[in-house]
Amino acid sequence: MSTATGKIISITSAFMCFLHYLGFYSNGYSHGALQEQIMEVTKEIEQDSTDALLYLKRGELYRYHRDWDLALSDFDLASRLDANLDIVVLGRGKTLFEAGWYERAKPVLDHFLLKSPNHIEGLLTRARVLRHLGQNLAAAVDYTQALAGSHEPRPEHYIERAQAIITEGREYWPAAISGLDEGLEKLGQIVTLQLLAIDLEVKLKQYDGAIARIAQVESQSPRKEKWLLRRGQILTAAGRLGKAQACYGEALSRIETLTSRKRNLQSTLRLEGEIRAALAEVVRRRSMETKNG
Amino acid sequence: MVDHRRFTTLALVFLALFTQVAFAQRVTRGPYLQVGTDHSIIVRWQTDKVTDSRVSYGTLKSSLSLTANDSEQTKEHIVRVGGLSPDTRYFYSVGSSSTVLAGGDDAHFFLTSPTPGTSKPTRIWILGDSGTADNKARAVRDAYYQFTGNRHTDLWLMLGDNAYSKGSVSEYQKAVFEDMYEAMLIKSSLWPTLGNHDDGTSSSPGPYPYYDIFTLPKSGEAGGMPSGTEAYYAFDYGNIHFICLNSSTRNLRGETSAMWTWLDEDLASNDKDWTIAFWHHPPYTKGSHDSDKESELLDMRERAVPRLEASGVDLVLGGHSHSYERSFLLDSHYGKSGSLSDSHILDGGDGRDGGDGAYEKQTLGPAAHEGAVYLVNGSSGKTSGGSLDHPVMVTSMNELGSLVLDIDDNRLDATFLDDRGDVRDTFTVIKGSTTPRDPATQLVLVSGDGQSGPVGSTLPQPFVVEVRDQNNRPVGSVAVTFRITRGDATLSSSTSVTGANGRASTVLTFGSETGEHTVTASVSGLAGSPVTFHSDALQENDPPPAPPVNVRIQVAGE
Repeated sequence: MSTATGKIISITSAFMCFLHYLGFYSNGYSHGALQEQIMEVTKEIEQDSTDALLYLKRGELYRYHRDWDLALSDFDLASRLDANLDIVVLGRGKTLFEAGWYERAKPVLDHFLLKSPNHIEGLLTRARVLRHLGQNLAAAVDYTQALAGSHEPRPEHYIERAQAIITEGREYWPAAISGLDEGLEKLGQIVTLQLLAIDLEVKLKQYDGAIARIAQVESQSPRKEKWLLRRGQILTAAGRLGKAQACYGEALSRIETLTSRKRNLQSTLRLEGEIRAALAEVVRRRSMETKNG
Repeated sequence: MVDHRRFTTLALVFLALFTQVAFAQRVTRGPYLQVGTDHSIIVRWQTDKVTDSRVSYGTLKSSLSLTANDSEQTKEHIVRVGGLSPDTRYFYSVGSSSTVLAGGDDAHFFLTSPTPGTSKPTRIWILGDSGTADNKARAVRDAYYQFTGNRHTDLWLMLGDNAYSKGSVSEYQKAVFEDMYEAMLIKSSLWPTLGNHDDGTSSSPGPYPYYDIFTLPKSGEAGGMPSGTEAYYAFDYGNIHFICLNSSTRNLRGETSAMWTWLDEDLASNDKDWTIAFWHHPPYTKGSHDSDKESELLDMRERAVPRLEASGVDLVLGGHSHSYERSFLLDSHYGKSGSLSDSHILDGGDGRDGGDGAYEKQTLGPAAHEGAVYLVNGSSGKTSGGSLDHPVMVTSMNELGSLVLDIDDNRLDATFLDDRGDVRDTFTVIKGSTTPRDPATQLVLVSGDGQSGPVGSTLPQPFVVEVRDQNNRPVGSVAVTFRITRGDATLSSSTSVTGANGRASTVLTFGSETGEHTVTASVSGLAGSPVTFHSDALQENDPPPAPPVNVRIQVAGE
C-alpha cells in the first residue's frame, strides 16, 4: 500500500472516530468499556495505519457497539489492506445481519462460506439470515451443518433449527421433533428441548409420545407435582379422563406428603389450586359422560 | 580400568539425572476444584507433558487410599471423584498412575456439600471483575484471607471479567491461577460467570478459553434443571439455590432465548430456602456503567429480574461497574432509575441489625415479590468511579473489595470487605421469622361484577376478590379458585394466589354464547366463599354496554 493510501485511511479513520466522539453515531447503546477499547485501537491505528488486523478489531468493536456504518467502513479498510483476511467477510456479514439488512447479508455470507464451508459461526449467521428471508429449509440445512461440526453444540441452536422447520408447516413438524431428539441425545435431557417437543407432539395429537417425554422431565425434577399436572392435562386432551383423574389425584397426594413449609409456599399453593381446578373439571366431564350414557 | 568404570558410573548417574529432569512432569495450572456436590467433585489440573490422570483421596491425610483414574493421555486433567459422603472433608493428591505431582498435605482438601435441602452455616466469597492480575487484586484477596482465617470458604463465585482484557489462556493463568488464588482453588469449588472481557468482544470467533478452563454443570448434576450448556447453569448448596445467567452473549439475552425458558423451569422446580442469582451485567448501577443506557443491563433488568422476583429471588449479584453498590429491599422496579417509586422499595432501611434492622421476608423458601437485594460487586481488581447515585442503592462506593456471605438457616449476613480488610458495608436478611400472620377468615368481592360486552370479547376489568383475616387485614399467599358456573367463556387463570394486598383476580373472555354468565371465586372454609360475579354477553350489534359497575361489599368492622 502506498503512503498516500495509508494517510487517507488514517485521516478517514480519525474523522470517523471524531464523529463518534461527538456523538453523531450515538445509538443509545452507550458502552463505556467498548468506547475505551475503540479509542485504544484508534490510537494504535494512528501509530500503524497499515495493520489490517487493527481495522478488523475496531470493526468488531463498532459492530458490538451497534455502529453499523463505522463497522462496515473498518471492515472495508481491513479488506483493502489485506485481501486474504477472510474473517473480515464474516465480520461484514454479521454486521449486516445484526443491522437487519438481510438481503445484503446473504451474498456476503455466501461468499465467506464458499471459502470456509464448515465455519460454524458463519453457518449459524447465514442460517439466521435465511430465516429472516423466509428460506427456512435452507436455514435448517445450515443449522444442521453447524451442529454437526460443533464440538459443543448449544440447546439454542437445536431450538432455532426446530423453529425454522416448524414455520414451514405441519407436515414438517415430525422432522422438527426428530431434530430436537438429536439434541436430547447429544446434550442430555434438557427441559428447553423437551418442552418444545412436547408442545409439538400434543399439537400432532401424539399423546403417548408427549406423555413419555413428560416422564423423562419429571424424573429429574424435584417438583414432580407440576409435571403430573401437565401429564394430566395431556391425558385430558387425549380424552383419557380416568387416567387424567388418577394423575391429578397422585399430584395432590404428593403435595400432601410435603413438609408444612413447602406445602405453604406460594408456588405450591398455586399449583395445588390449578390441580384441584383441573381435577374438578375432569370429574365434571366424566359425570356428564356417565349421564349421557 | 578403574577410570573406565568411574566414567561409566558417572555417565549413568548423569543420564539418570538428565532423564529425570527431561521427563519430569510439572503441574502448570491448579489443582482446582469444580462442580462440588454432596456426593462428587471435579478435580482439574494441567501438566506440561501428557500423562494419564489420578486423584488419590481419603478422609485421613495419611491414608489417601481411594483413587479416581482416567487413562487418557492428556495435559488437561479433568477427574470426577464420585461416591462421596455429604458434608465430609477429604484430603487429596493429584498426579498420574506413576507419580504424585501435588497434594497429599494439609492444604489440599475439599469439603463436600451438605445434603441438598439441609441447612448448614455456609460461607461464600464473591469476587467481581477481579481479573487485573495485579497487586490491587492481591490486596483484595489478602484482606479476605485475613478476614476468614481458619473459617473454611464453602464456595466462591467470580462475577465475570475474571481475566483482563480478553480472557485469553495466558491472561487467565496470571489473573486466576499463578500467584493469585491458588490457596483457595485447591480447597473450594469455584463457580464463575462469563464477563464481557472473558468472551473478548474481539474478532476471534469460536469458543472462548473460559469454557475450556472451567467445568460447569450442564446436566443438572449439582442440582437445578439441566441447561444443556455451560453458558448458564444452576446448582444447590444445602438450602441455597444458585442461578448463573449469561448476560454477555447477546443471542442468549434475546427475548425468545432458551435461557429464559430454562430459567422459568428451573425456578418452578426450586424449593430451597434461599435463591441467589448472579451474572456479569448488573440490572441497577450508576458506576462506571449506567443501567439506564446499556443494552446488556437493560435486557437483564427487563427479562431476568421479573422472572426471578416472581419466583422469590433473595439476592442478585453483578459486577461490570468497578464499584460497590448495594440496594434496599426492592421489588418490581423494571424501568429506568427515574421511574423508581416508593412502591418499589419494600424496606427502605439500611438492613443492618444495629441500624434500621435486618430486612425481613415473610416466607422461608421461594415466595413471589417479597423483595430482593441487588449488589454490584465489581471492584475486586480495580475501581473506575461513576456518579454512584442510583436511587435504589443504600450505599455506593468507589472502593476495592470483595463480598462475603454467611448463610445460616433463615439468616443471611453480607459483608463488603475493602482491600485493607475494613468492613465497609453489612446487611442482613431474615426469612420466615417475622410476625406470624393471622389466618384467613373471609373472602370478599372487590370489583369486576356486573360487566357486559359483546360475545367473543374480553371484559375490560378483572374479577377481583380479597382474602382477609379476622381483623380485616389482607392475607397473602392464599390460592383462590375461579370457576365458570354459567355460560360459555374462558378465564385468564382458574387459580390465582393472593399477593401481599390479599387480592387475587382473573379476567373473563366470552365465547360465542349470549346471555348471563357467572363466575365463582372460592377458598374452602372462608366466610363469604364462594363469591359470585355476574356478567352479560351481548350480540355484537346490541347497544354498547353500560359502564361497568364496581361493587364493594362492606364487611363488619371495615
